[in-house]
Amino acid sequence: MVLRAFIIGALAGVLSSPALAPQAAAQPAPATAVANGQKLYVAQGCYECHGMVGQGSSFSGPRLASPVMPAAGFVKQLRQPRYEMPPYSDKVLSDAQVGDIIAYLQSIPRPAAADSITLLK
Amino acid sequence: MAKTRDRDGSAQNQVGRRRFMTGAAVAGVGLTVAGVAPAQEATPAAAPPKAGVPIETAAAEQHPPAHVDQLTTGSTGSDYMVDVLKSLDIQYIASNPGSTFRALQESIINYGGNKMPEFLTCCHEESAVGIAHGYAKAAGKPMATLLHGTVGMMHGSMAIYNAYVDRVPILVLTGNAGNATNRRPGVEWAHSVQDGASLVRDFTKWDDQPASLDAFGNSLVRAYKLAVTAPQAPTVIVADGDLQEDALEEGTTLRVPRLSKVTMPAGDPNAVREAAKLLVAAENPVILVDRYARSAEGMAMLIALAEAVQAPVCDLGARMNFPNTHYLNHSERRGPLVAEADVIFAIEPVDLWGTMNRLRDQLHRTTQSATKPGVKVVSIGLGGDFMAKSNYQDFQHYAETDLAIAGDGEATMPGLLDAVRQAIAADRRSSLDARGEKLKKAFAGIRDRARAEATYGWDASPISTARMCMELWNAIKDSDWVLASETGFQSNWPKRLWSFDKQHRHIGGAGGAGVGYGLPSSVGAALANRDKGRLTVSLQGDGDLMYAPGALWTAAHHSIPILSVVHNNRAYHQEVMHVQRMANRHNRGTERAHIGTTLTDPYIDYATVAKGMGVYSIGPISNPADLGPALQKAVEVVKRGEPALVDVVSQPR
Repeated sequence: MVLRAFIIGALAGVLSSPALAPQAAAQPAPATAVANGQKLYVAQGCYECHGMVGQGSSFSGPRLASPVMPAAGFVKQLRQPRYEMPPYSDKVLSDAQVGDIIAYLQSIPRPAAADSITLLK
Repeated sequence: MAKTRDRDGSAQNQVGRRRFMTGAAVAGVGLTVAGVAPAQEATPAAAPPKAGVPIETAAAEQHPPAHVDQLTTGSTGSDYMVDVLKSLDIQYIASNPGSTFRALQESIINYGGNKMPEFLTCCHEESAVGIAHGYAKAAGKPMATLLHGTVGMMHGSMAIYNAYVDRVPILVLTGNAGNATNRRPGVEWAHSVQDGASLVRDFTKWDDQPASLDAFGNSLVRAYKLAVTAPQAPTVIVADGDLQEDALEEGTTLRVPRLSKVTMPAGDPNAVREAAKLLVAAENPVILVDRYARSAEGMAMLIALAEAVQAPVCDLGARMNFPNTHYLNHSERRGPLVAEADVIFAIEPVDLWGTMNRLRDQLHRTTQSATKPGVKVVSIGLGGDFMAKSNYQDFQHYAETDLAIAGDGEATMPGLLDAVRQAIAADRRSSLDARGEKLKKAFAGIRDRARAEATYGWDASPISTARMCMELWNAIKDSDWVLASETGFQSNWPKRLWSFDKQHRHIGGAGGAGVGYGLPSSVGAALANRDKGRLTVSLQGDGDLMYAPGALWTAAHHSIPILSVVHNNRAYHQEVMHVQRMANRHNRGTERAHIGTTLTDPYIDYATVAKGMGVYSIGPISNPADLGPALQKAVEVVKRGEPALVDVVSQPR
């Protein structure tokens, strides 16, 4: 519980960071969906493999944010994953809950270009 | 039987006190020793003692043989043992002190002057062996370790396993009170064993328990030679307590056997020529290389081979094999290259089957080939099929090959290079060059893609592994640096974005994947690099650090300059993911997967832990903007010759 509270607080800090350019969604999801999606993203361990802001890892799982894959493909990968990802059945995550996770991922701002970051030049 | 001088200076054939007691037991009734009144005269007539019962009655103790009063001696067998160690150019011996080798330790520090070898004080035997593991890879030669019998060996055994799987030489010595008659009551019995090396025999290359000093000399030299001859691995010598502690007559000289020059076994020349032809003729070859390069020369030869045939190289990372700045390094493209290859050329592969196949870890496990039909597979190395013991399964899944050449990779390379150059006909050159041009273009995009990926989560807190690694790179890139840790848990950012241009930049990983390797091995590597003026850094796992954090004290005590950047993700994340996998499989949700897998409540303050052990430390750091200045300060400390630790609260991977 302590770790999850820490992570959720940390995620809130990332999303409000002024250094990131905001990414406008075609139809912004309700704030409750984004908040709920963030909680589920942590509680269901998505961050373990895909990073706390969906940045992914070459070691454990691809990037999920910016851009987010279409919902149909997202759900299919969740329920019947290819390769190593463990399955999330609808007993664990309902379609509505998956929608909220997608809403959260879509709310994550696109990062700045590598050329604008001194340490990445 | 040792000759000793009697107190009046005359030499006599006398047994040492211990062997006297044993001999008396065997002789039974009626044994007298000149100068000692028989015990029976002091007491009323009694039934004669039974055969085999030591004649150590109270009366005998009141009138012990004259030589038993001798309490000191100039030299004991342990001094000779140090002479043998010195002949092997052993610079350090890492140890946590133990009574089973008390004489050897004293001989090291006094008779030997605590030099060649120098005694490294460790707080745990696992740290001692781990230090030796990292040292050997960075120094190119082994260190010795001295492990207390039984319980010390048990403590060190995981680290010995790691070194065995990683094929790294370590000279392991352990003590033992083998002679039961002479054991002190209590602890010495609990710490004695009939076969001191049996605990680790399944994962060491050779062991011996010499019964004489002459045999000890032979065996220690042989153990060293076996350890450093490929396939390299730890060897064990049991130094019996009596051999250590029995007196040596003044003027006694024991011969130290000469270590002959070590050469590595090379692959059969005919097979090597056949392999060369296959490589040269391939249209889509890929060179896979893993536990190969021991030296800069080894890497240079591999570069020459790859350039000769213009073949992409995938460095699988058990050693630093191929520079990531070279256009033929296509490690990031391994999947597609293996899938399209018509020839897979593997040099010292660790898990060739795992590279050519995919096993799906789901409820029903299925296997799929990752190669195309008809691919030719060549392997050169001394891996699992050359030195394989039955019990521990580190030899991996059997890999089907078309040509498997048993030979050390580096030792085989000169012959392979010659054979390849001879096999390239003039009309083949242009097509090879054309392939090289395509590979240059493909290489150009690899780093740009990595840079773009690194931007995601750049300003996040907890700090992204990309940010952590690039802040560290900025602090060390102008030094002669060495990364002593593995990089997979940090999403391989160093290998993707730093410049690994020289063979000494990286030393590979644990081998056996036993957690707890990271901290001591980086201390050992830093010790080897200290005299070369190299800056050693480590991306240190938090869980790994907690196994035996006392290695931090060892670094402080011995002034070993190592920069430990703690990848503090507050959990054993591999295990979190494993438990999550099981929870999902059972449709139970993953909300409880943190139980038993996370390091929270309280959070461990690694900077305080390190400070308590005398290590300069900063942290915990959660704000990425604070990381750069902290690392710069820490690097200054390390450059002054002292260890430093920076605790970075970071993302899982």
